[in-house]
Amino acid sequence: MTAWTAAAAAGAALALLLAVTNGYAKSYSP
Amino acid sequence: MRAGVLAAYAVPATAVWALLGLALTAVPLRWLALPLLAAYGGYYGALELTGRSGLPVPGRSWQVPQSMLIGAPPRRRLLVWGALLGPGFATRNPYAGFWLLPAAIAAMPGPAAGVVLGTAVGCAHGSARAAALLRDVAQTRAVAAGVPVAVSQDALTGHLDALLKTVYWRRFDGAVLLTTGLLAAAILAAAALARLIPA
Repeated sequence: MTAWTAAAAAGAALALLLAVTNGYAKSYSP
Repeated sequence: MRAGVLAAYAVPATAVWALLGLALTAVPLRWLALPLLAAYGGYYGALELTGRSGLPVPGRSWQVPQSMLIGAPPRRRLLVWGALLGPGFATRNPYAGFWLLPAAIAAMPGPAAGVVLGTAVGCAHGSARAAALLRDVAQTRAVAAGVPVAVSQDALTGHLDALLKTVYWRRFDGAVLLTTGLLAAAILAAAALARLIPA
């Protein structure tokens, strides 16, 4: 795995985390 | 019921985001996506993490019109809600993290990675949105049935509780945004250095 692939994988993991939390947290918005 | 709600939200979300994944990586947009990720993630990440107010979160304030739901059978109502709310583009997004997602997909190296991340993001967002709805329904039912639940039941503490959760989610969103922005900045810096000093 090259450094570029590792960086892309880390970015994808962060994006997935944001997708889950943004979907789940929306119902708390006033 | 649970599987139906989950499918109504997750299936359209997965389809929309998979197509978006293809569209955003079919033309190479990384050169645009990476600086955008660094700037957007840095600015909104710092704003949300520190609790300050600045530029408003991008998005729209559209809401599903009642006319689309009044008189509709429950199944169709669920399909309308799922198709509009599952992907997340149609209605307001209170946290800045959501609009980082298309840029993160555009930064992927090639269409295969773009479609994989788009599919995963759509499935994750739609399922999480459905899970939040099911959680709220379960809580409302438990309160209505008089079952003691771990949520405050009177209006004021209930409101404060929701407000506090909003603050926590915003801060968490900011931390992840800032991390993503810093990662994008580091990739840009590394790419610039690699060009300056060829191996």
